[in-house]
Amino acid sequence: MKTYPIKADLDIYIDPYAAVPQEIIKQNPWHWDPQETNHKDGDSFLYTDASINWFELGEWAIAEANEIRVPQKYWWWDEENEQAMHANESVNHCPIFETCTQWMVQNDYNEHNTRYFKFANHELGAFYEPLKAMFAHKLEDMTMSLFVQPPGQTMPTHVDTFSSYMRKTGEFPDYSKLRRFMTFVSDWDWGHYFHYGNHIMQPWKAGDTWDLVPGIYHGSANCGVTPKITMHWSGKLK
Amino acid sequence: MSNIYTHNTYYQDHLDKNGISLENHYEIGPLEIQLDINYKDFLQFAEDSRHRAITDKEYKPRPFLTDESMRQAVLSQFIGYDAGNTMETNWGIEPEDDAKLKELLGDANFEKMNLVKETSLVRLLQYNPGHGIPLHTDSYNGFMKRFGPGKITRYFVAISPWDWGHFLQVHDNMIHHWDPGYALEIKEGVWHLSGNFGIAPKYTLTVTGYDVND
Repeated sequence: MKTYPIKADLDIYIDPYAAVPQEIIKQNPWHWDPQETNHKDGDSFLYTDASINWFELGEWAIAEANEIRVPQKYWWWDEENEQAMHANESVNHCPIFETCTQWMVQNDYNEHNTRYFKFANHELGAFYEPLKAMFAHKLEDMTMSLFVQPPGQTMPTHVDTFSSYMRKTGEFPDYSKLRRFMTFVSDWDWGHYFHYGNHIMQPWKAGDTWDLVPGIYHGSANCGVTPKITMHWSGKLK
Repeated sequence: MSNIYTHNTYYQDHLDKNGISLENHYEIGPLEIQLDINYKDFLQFAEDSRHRAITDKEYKPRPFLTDESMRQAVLSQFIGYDAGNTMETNWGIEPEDDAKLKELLGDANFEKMNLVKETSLVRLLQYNPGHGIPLHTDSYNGFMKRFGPGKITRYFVAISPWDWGHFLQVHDNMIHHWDPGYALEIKEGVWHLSGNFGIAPKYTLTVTGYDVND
Protein backbone atom coordinates (compact mmCIF):
# COMPACT_ATOMS: atom_id res chain seq x y z
CA MET A 1 0.00 0.00 0.00
CA LYS A 2 1.16 3.52 -0.77
CA THR A 3 0.04 6.53 1.22
CA TYR A 4 -1.63 9.42 -0.49
CA PRO A 5 0.53 12.04 -2.08
CA ILE A 6 0.39 15.08 0.18
CA LYS A 7 -1.55 17.63 -1.76
CA ALA A 8 0.33 20.78 -0.79
CA ASP A 9 4.04 21.43 -0.38
CA LEU A 10 5.22 20.56 3.09
CA ASP A 11 5.99 23.54 5.22
CA ILE A 12 8.07 23.37 8.37
CA TYR A 13 5.61 25.74 9.97
CA ILE A 14 1.90 25.64 9.39
CA ASP A 15 0.13 28.22 11.47
CA PRO A 16 -2.65 26.46 13.40
CA TYR A 17 -3.93 29.78 14.71
CA ALA A 18 -5.00 30.76 11.22
CA ALA A 19 -7.46 27.86 11.09
CA VAL A 20 -9.25 28.52 14.37
CA PRO A 21 -12.56 30.42 14.35
CA GLN A 22 -12.06 34.03 15.47
CA GLU A 23 -14.86 33.74 18.05
CA ILE A 24 -12.86 31.08 19.90
CA ILE A 25 -9.63 33.05 19.75
CA LYS A 26 -11.31 36.23 21.02
CA GLN A 27 -13.16 34.52 23.86
CA ASN A 28 -10.26 32.31 24.93
CA PRO A 29 -6.90 34.00 24.47
CA TRP A 30 -4.05 31.51 24.55
CA HIS A 31 -0.28 31.68 24.02
CA TRP A 32 -0.15 29.70 20.74
CA ASP A 33 3.56 28.96 21.20
CA PRO A 34 4.77 25.35 21.30
CA GLN A 35 8.02 26.48 22.96
CA GLU A 36 6.28 28.37 25.78
CA THR A 37 7.20 26.89 29.15
CA ASN A 38 5.52 29.47 31.36
CA HIS A 39 1.93 28.31 30.88
CA LYS A 40 -1.05 26.98 32.76
CA ASP A 41 -2.15 24.43 30.19
CA GLY A 42 -2.13 21.60 32.72
CA ASP A 43 -4.13 23.41 35.36
CA SER A 44 -7.59 22.12 34.47
CA PHE A 45 -7.26 18.65 35.99
CA LEU A 46 -10.35 18.09 38.12
CA TYR A 47 -10.10 14.82 40.05
CA THR A 48 -9.71 11.06 39.76
CA ASP A 49 -13.24 9.73 39.66
CA ALA A 50 -14.10 6.59 41.59
CA SER A 51 -17.85 6.60 41.04
CA ILE A 52 -17.60 4.47 37.90
CA ASN A 53 -15.90 1.11 37.45
CA TRP A 54 -13.65 2.37 34.66
CA PHE A 55 -12.03 -1.02 34.14
CA GLU A 56 -15.43 -2.60 33.48
CA LEU A 57 -16.37 0.23 31.11
CA GLY A 58 -13.08 -0.26 29.25
CA GLU A 59 -13.63 -4.00 28.95
CA TRP A 60 -17.18 -3.39 27.70
CA ALA A 61 -15.95 -0.84 25.13
CA ILE A 62 -13.27 -3.15 23.77
CA ALA A 63 -15.79 -6.00 23.49
CA GLU A 64 -18.17 -3.72 21.58
CA ALA A 65 -15.38 -2.54 19.28
CA ASN A 66 -14.31 -6.12 18.62
CA GLU A 67 -17.91 -6.95 17.75
CA ILE A 68 -18.12 -4.12 15.22
CA ARG A 69 -14.51 -4.53 13.95
CA VAL A 70 -14.66 -1.49 11.64
CA PRO A 71 -14.23 1.88 13.36
CA GLN A 72 -17.24 4.08 12.69
CA LYS A 73 -15.28 7.33 12.65
CA TYR A 74 -12.33 8.55 10.58
CA TRP A 75 -11.29 11.70 8.76
CA TRP A 76 -10.64 11.79 5.03
CA TRP A 77 -10.51 14.20 2.14
CA ASP A 78 -12.97 13.63 -0.70
CA GLU A 79 -10.71 14.60 -3.57
CA GLU A 80 -13.38 14.55 -6.25
CA ASN A 81 -15.80 16.84 -4.43
CA GLU A 82 -13.23 18.72 -2.32
CA GLN A 83 -15.02 17.86 0.89
CA ALA A 84 -13.51 17.36 4.33
CA MET A 85 -15.24 14.23 5.53
CA HIS A 86 -15.80 12.81 9.00
CA ALA A 87 -16.84 9.26 8.12
CA ASN A 88 -19.87 9.87 5.85
CA GLU A 89 -20.50 13.50 6.78
CA SER A 90 -19.05 16.54 5.09
CA VAL A 91 -17.80 19.19 7.52
CA ASN A 92 -17.18 21.85 4.88
CA HIS A 93 -19.87 24.00 6.47
CA CYS A 94 -18.53 23.47 10.01
CA PRO A 95 -16.03 25.60 11.94
CA ILE A 96 -13.56 22.69 11.96
CA PHE A 97 -13.18 22.92 8.17
CA GLU A 98 -10.05 25.10 8.04
CA THR A 99 -8.33 22.84 10.56
CA CYS A 100 -9.35 19.87 8.42
CA THR A 101 -7.58 21.35 5.42
CA GLN A 102 -4.40 21.63 7.53
CA TRP A 103 -4.80 17.96 8.43
CA MET A 104 -5.80 16.45 5.13
CA VAL A 105 -4.66 18.79 2.36
CA GLN A 106 -1.48 20.24 3.84
CA ASN A 107 -0.72 16.99 5.67
CA ASP A 108 -1.17 13.25 5.42
CA TYR A 109 -4.09 12.56 7.74
CA ASN A 110 -6.62 10.22 6.24
CA GLU A 111 -8.73 7.16 6.97
CA HIS A 112 -5.59 5.12 7.65
CA ASN A 113 -4.42 7.08 10.68
CA THR A 114 -7.50 8.76 12.21
CA ARG A 115 -9.85 5.86 12.91
CA TYR A 116 -11.72 5.41 16.15
CA PHE A 117 -14.73 3.68 17.57
CA LYS A 118 -17.41 5.90 19.04
CA PHE A 119 -20.21 4.91 21.41
CA ALA A 120 -22.55 7.77 22.21
CA ASN A 121 -25.31 8.39 24.74
CA HIS A 122 -27.72 5.43 24.96
CA GLU A 123 -25.25 3.23 23.09
CA LEU A 124 -23.41 3.21 26.39
CA GLY A 125 -26.06 0.80 27.74
CA ALA A 126 -25.92 0.20 31.48
CA PHE A 127 -23.18 2.82 31.83
CA TYR A 128 -25.37 5.61 30.41
CA GLU A 129 -27.06 6.72 33.65
CA PRO A 130 -24.03 6.69 35.95
CA LEU A 131 -21.93 8.48 33.32
CA LYS A 132 -24.67 11.04 32.78
CA ALA A 133 -24.81 11.66 36.52
CA MET A 134 -21.19 12.79 36.55
CA PHE A 135 -21.87 16.04 34.68
CA ALA A 136 -25.67 16.42 34.43
CA HIS A 137 -25.51 19.09 37.14
CA LYS A 138 -23.01 21.14 35.13
CA LEU A 139 -24.16 20.77 31.51
CA GLU A 140 -27.44 21.09 29.70
CA ASP A 141 -28.17 19.63 26.24
CA MET A 142 -25.40 17.24 27.22
CA THR A 143 -24.03 14.64 24.82
CA MET A 144 -21.70 11.85 25.85
CA SER A 145 -19.23 9.94 23.70
CA LEU A 146 -16.80 7.17 24.47
CA PHE A 147 -13.87 6.85 22.06
CA VAL A 148 -11.76 3.74 21.53
CA GLN A 149 -8.59 4.71 19.66
CA PRO A 150 -6.78 1.63 18.29
CA PRO A 151 -2.97 1.47 18.01
CA GLY A 152 -1.63 3.51 15.09
CA GLN A 153 -4.45 6.04 15.16
CA THR A 154 -4.66 9.69 16.10
CA MET A 155 -6.96 12.58 16.75
CA PRO A 156 -4.91 15.30 15.05
CA THR A 157 -4.23 18.49 16.95
CA HIS A 158 -7.18 20.89 17.01
CA VAL A 159 -9.25 23.28 19.06
CA ASP A 160 -12.70 22.00 19.99
CA THR A 161 -15.22 23.61 17.65
CA PHE A 162 -18.23 21.53 18.68
CA SER A 163 -19.09 20.56 15.11
CA SER A 164 -21.04 17.52 16.36
CA TYR A 165 -23.14 19.84 18.50
CA MET A 166 -23.73 22.02 15.46
CA ARG A 167 -24.76 19.04 13.36
CA LYS A 168 -27.07 17.82 16.14
CA THR A 169 -28.76 21.12 16.98
CA GLY A 170 -28.48 22.99 13.69
CA GLU A 171 -27.22 25.99 15.71
CA PHE A 172 -23.91 27.76 15.22
CA PRO A 173 -22.09 27.16 18.51
CA ASP A 174 -22.00 29.86 21.17
CA TYR A 175 -18.48 29.17 22.35
CA SER A 176 -18.87 31.24 25.48
CA LYS A 177 -21.32 28.65 26.82
CA LEU A 178 -20.10 25.30 25.48
CA ARG A 179 -17.81 23.08 27.49
CA ARG A 180 -16.24 19.63 27.29
CA PHE A 181 -15.07 17.34 30.07
CA MET A 182 -12.99 14.21 29.58
CA THR A 183 -12.10 11.15 31.64
CA PHE A 184 -9.42 8.60 30.82
CA VAL A 185 -11.13 5.21 30.90
CA SER A 186 -7.95 3.16 30.69
CA ASP A 187 -4.62 3.61 32.45
CA TRP A 188 -1.78 5.21 30.47
CA ASP A 189 0.11 2.63 28.45
CA TRP A 190 2.87 2.43 25.82
CA GLY A 191 2.48 5.07 23.14
CA HIS A 192 -0.65 6.68 24.59
CA TYR A 193 -0.24 10.40 24.09
CA PHE A 194 -2.45 13.37 24.88
CA HIS A 195 -1.22 16.92 24.76
CA TYR A 196 -3.39 19.73 26.05
CA GLY A 197 -1.65 22.80 24.77
CA ASN A 198 1.91 22.50 26.02
CA HIS A 199 0.98 20.13 28.83
CA ILE A 200 1.61 16.45 28.15
CA MET A 201 -0.82 14.35 30.16
CA GLN A 202 1.30 11.21 30.58
CA PRO A 203 1.08 9.22 32.79
CA TRP A 204 -2.59 9.08 33.66
CA LYS A 205 -4.79 6.73 35.61
CA ALA A 206 -8.25 5.49 34.68
CA GLY A 207 -10.73 7.94 36.18
CA ASP A 208 -8.50 11.02 35.76
CA THR A 209 -10.93 13.74 34.77
CA TRP A 210 -10.17 17.00 32.99
CA ASP A 211 -12.06 20.17 32.26
CA LEU A 212 -11.06 20.76 28.65
CA VAL A 213 -11.25 24.52 28.90
CA PRO A 214 -11.92 26.02 25.48
CA GLY A 215 -9.49 27.50 23.02
CA ILE A 216 -6.46 25.33 23.77
CA TYR A 217 -4.83 23.43 20.94
CA HIS A 218 -4.78 19.71 21.74
CA GLY A 219 -4.61 16.27 20.22
CA SER A 220 -4.06 12.64 21.01
CA ALA A 221 -2.48 9.57 19.55
CA ASN A 222 -1.98 5.93 20.19
CA CYS A 223 1.41 4.71 19.04
CA GLY A 224 1.27 1.78 21.44
CA VAL A 225 -0.03 -1.77 21.56
CA THR A 226 -3.33 -1.49 23.48
CA PRO A 227 -6.43 0.61 22.78
CA LYS A 228 -6.63 4.07 24.35
CA ILE A 229 -10.09 4.79 25.71
CA THR A 230 -11.53 8.18 26.71
CA MET A 231 -14.96 9.41 27.74
CA HIS A 232 -16.23 12.85 26.77
CA TRP A 233 -19.13 15.03 27.91
CA SER A 234 -20.16 18.11 25.91
CA GLY A 235 -22.90 20.67 26.43
CA LYS A 236 -23.85 24.15 27.56
CA LEU A 237 -22.64 25.23 30.98
CA LYS A 238 -25.57 25.70 33.34
CA MET B 1 -14.53 -16.17 22.65
CA SER B 2 -11.38 -15.36 20.71
CA ASN B 3 -9.42 -17.77 18.55
CA ILE B 4 -5.89 -17.53 17.18
CA TYR B 5 -7.07 -15.23 14.39
CA THR B 6 -9.05 -12.81 16.55
CA HIS B 7 -6.86 -12.88 19.65
CA ASN B 8 -5.68 -9.27 19.89
CA THR B 9 -3.13 -9.09 22.68
CA TYR B 10 -0.18 -10.85 21.06
CA TYR B 11 2.07 -7.81 21.48
CA GLN B 12 1.17 -7.36 25.13
CA ASP B 13 1.68 -11.11 25.61
CA HIS B 14 5.17 -10.75 24.11
CA LEU B 15 6.03 -7.89 26.50
CA ASP B 16 4.66 -9.82 29.48
CA LYS B 17 6.59 -12.94 28.51
CA ASN B 18 9.80 -10.90 28.47
CA GLY B 19 9.04 -9.12 31.74
CA ILE B 20 8.74 -5.69 30.08
CA SER B 21 6.61 -3.42 32.22
CA LEU B 22 6.04 0.30 32.50
CA GLU B 23 5.95 -0.21 36.26
CA ASN B 24 9.74 -0.50 36.14
CA HIS B 25 11.24 2.96 35.74
CA TYR B 26 14.04 3.41 33.22
CA GLU B 27 16.32 6.35 34.07
CA ILE B 28 17.37 8.39 31.04
CA GLY B 29 19.02 11.32 32.82
CA PRO B 30 22.62 10.12 32.36
CA LEU B 31 21.96 9.36 28.70
CA GLU B 32 20.90 12.89 27.68
CA ILE B 33 23.24 15.48 26.16
CA GLN B 34 22.78 18.72 24.26
CA LEU B 35 24.58 19.04 20.96
CA ASP B 36 25.36 22.31 19.25
CA ILE B 37 23.77 22.23 15.81
CA ASN B 38 22.28 24.59 13.27
CA TYR B 39 19.05 22.78 12.55
CA LYS B 40 18.27 24.91 9.53
CA ASP B 41 21.32 23.48 7.75
CA PHE B 42 19.84 20.00 8.09
CA LEU B 43 16.44 21.11 6.83
CA GLN B 44 18.10 22.79 3.87
CA PHE B 45 20.06 19.62 3.17
CA ALA B 46 16.78 17.67 3.22
CA GLU B 47 15.22 19.99 0.69
CA ASP B 48 18.30 20.10 -1.55
CA SER B 49 18.68 16.32 -1.65
CA ARG B 50 15.05 15.23 -1.45
CA HIS B 51 15.41 13.48 -4.81
CA ARG B 52 17.89 11.05 -3.19
CA ALA B 53 15.80 10.33 -0.09
CA ILE B 54 14.24 6.99 0.68
CA THR B 55 10.61 8.05 0.61
CA ASP B 56 8.56 4.92 1.10
CA LYS B 57 10.01 3.14 4.10
CA GLU B 58 7.12 1.97 6.23
CA TYR B 59 7.58 -0.14 9.32
CA LYS B 60 7.18 -3.76 8.32
CA PRO B 61 8.93 -7.14 8.50
CA ARG B 62 12.04 -7.26 6.32
CA PRO B 63 14.23 -10.26 5.48
CA PHE B 64 17.42 -8.75 6.93
CA LEU B 65 15.99 -8.01 10.38
CA THR B 66 16.91 -10.02 13.44
CA ASP B 67 14.37 -12.58 14.62
CA GLU B 68 13.29 -10.32 17.48
CA SER B 69 12.91 -7.25 15.24
CA MET B 70 10.99 -9.35 12.73
CA ARG B 71 8.67 -10.54 15.50
CA GLN B 72 8.09 -6.95 16.70
CA ALA B 73 7.23 -5.86 13.15
CA VAL B 74 4.77 -8.73 12.69
CA LEU B 75 3.16 -8.02 16.06
CA SER B 76 2.81 -4.34 15.10
CA GLN B 77 1.23 -5.15 11.75
CA PHE B 78 -1.27 -7.40 13.47
CA ILE B 79 -2.57 -4.55 15.63
CA GLY B 80 -2.92 -2.01 12.87
CA TYR B 81 0.40 -0.48 11.87
CA ASP B 82 0.94 -0.15 8.14
CA ALA B 83 2.05 2.26 5.43
CA GLY B 84 -0.84 4.53 6.36
CA ASN B 85 0.60 5.42 9.75
CA THR B 86 4.33 4.50 9.77
CA MET B 87 5.81 6.06 6.62
CA GLU B 88 9.30 7.48 6.98
CA THR B 89 11.48 9.55 4.67
CA ASN B 90 15.20 9.23 5.31
CA TRP B 91 18.56 10.37 4.07
CA GLY B 92 21.98 8.85 4.66
CA ILE B 93 21.98 5.50 2.88
CA GLU B 94 23.91 7.08 0.02
CA PRO B 95 27.58 7.56 1.08
CA GLU B 96 27.61 11.19 -0.08
CA ASP B 97 24.60 11.94 2.11
CA ASP B 98 26.10 10.14 5.10
CA ALA B 99 29.27 12.20 4.63
CA LYS B 100 27.35 15.45 4.31
CA LEU B 101 25.32 14.72 7.43
CA LYS B 102 28.53 13.98 9.36
CA GLU B 103 29.96 17.28 8.17
CA LEU B 104 26.83 19.14 9.30
CA LEU B 105 26.98 17.44 12.67
CA GLY B 106 30.62 18.38 13.11
CA ASP B 107 33.61 17.00 15.01
CA ALA B 108 32.71 18.62 18.31
CA ASN B 109 29.37 16.86 18.47
CA PHE B 110 30.94 13.47 17.69
CA GLU B 111 33.31 14.16 20.57
CA LYS B 112 30.37 14.98 22.85
CA MET B 113 28.77 11.66 21.89
CA ASN B 114 32.07 9.80 22.28
CA LEU B 115 31.63 8.32 18.81
CA VAL B 116 34.23 7.47 16.20
CA LYS B 117 33.18 9.78 13.39
CA GLU B 118 34.75 7.90 10.48
CA THR B 119 32.74 4.71 10.93
CA SER B 120 29.57 6.27 12.34
CA LEU B 121 26.37 6.12 10.32
CA VAL B 122 24.12 9.16 10.33
CA ARG B 123 20.52 9.03 9.14
CA LEU B 124 18.19 11.99 8.86
CA LEU B 125 14.58 10.92 9.39
CA GLN B 126 11.45 12.84 8.50
CA TYR B 127 8.11 11.78 9.96
CA ASN B 128 5.17 13.67 8.61
CA PRO B 129 2.09 14.26 10.73
CA GLY B 130 0.00 11.12 11.10
CA HIS B 131 3.02 8.83 11.11
CA GLY B 132 5.22 7.25 13.73
CA ILE B 133 7.29 4.22 14.50
CA PRO B 134 5.62 1.75 16.86
CA LEU B 135 7.09 0.14 19.93
CA HIS B 136 10.34 -1.65 19.17
CA THR B 137 13.90 -2.29 20.28
CA ASP B 138 16.99 -1.55 18.23
CA SER B 139 19.58 -4.11 17.32
CA TYR B 140 22.90 -3.03 15.86
CA ASN B 141 22.93 -6.01 13.52
CA GLY B 142 23.21 -3.97 10.34
CA PHE B 143 26.03 -1.85 11.71
CA MET B 144 27.94 -4.92 12.97
CA LYS B 145 27.55 -6.70 9.65
CA ARG B 146 29.12 -3.72 7.94
CA PHE B 147 31.85 -2.77 10.39
CA GLY B 148 32.25 -5.72 12.74
CA PRO B 149 31.52 -6.17 16.45
CA GLY B 150 32.48 -3.62 19.09
CA LYS B 151 31.05 -1.27 21.67
CA ILE B 152 28.30 0.33 19.62
CA THR B 153 26.23 3.33 20.66
CA ARG B 154 23.17 4.90 19.07
CA TYR B 155 21.80 8.40 19.62
CA PHE B 156 18.48 10.00 18.85
CA VAL B 157 19.10 13.65 17.96
CA ALA B 158 16.30 16.20 17.63
CA ILE B 159 16.66 18.40 14.56
CA SER B 160 13.47 20.40 14.02
CA PRO B 161 12.19 22.39 16.99
CA TRP B 162 9.59 20.55 19.02
CA ASP B 163 6.05 21.15 17.91
CA TRP B 164 2.69 19.99 19.21
CA GLY B 165 2.17 16.26 18.64
CA HIS B 166 5.87 15.35 18.42
CA PHE B 167 7.02 12.76 20.91
CA LEU B 168 9.54 10.07 21.72
CA GLN B 169 8.84 7.48 24.37
CA VAL B 170 11.77 5.57 25.84
CA HIS B 171 10.43 2.93 28.16
CA ASP B 172 8.33 4.92 30.69
CA ASN B 173 9.77 8.32 29.71
CA MET B 174 7.68 10.48 27.39
CA ILE B 175 10.07 12.97 25.81
CA HIS B 176 8.82 16.21 24.29
CA HIS B 177 9.52 19.97 24.22
CA TRP B 178 13.04 19.31 23.02
CA ASP B 179 15.37 21.89 21.58
CA PRO B 180 17.21 21.18 18.33
CA GLY B 181 20.35 19.26 19.24
CA TYR B 182 18.79 17.41 22.17
CA ALA B 183 20.41 13.97 22.05
CA LEU B 184 19.56 10.79 23.92
CA GLU B 185 21.47 7.53 23.82
CA ILE B 186 19.12 4.69 22.94
CA LYS B 187 20.69 1.55 24.30
CA GLU B 188 20.32 -1.76 22.53
CA GLY B 189 17.27 -3.66 23.72
CA VAL B 190 15.52 -0.65 25.29
CA TRP B 191 11.87 -0.38 24.23
CA HIS B 192 10.93 2.87 22.53
CA LEU B 193 8.64 4.45 19.96
CA SER B 194 8.00 7.85 18.46
CA GLY B 195 5.25 9.71 16.71
CA ASN B 196 4.16 12.87 15.04
CA PHE B 197 0.53 13.66 15.49
CA GLY B 198 0.68 17.41 15.06
CA ILE B 199 0.70 19.47 11.86
CA ALA B 200 4.41 20.05 11.22
CA PRO B 201 6.98 17.47 10.03
CA LYS B 202 9.37 16.04 12.62
CA TYR B 203 13.04 15.76 11.67
CA THR B 204 15.48 13.75 13.79
CA LEU B 205 18.80 11.98 13.37
CA THR B 206 19.93 8.56 14.39
CA VAL B 207 23.68 8.38 14.84
CA THR B 208 25.21 4.95 15.29
CA GLY B 209 28.88 4.33 15.87
CA TYR B 210 31.70 2.83 17.89
CA ASP B 211 32.44 4.28 21.29
CA VAL B 212 35.81 6.05 21.14
CA ASN B 213 36.81 4.22 24.33
CA ASP B 214 36.26 0.80 22.78
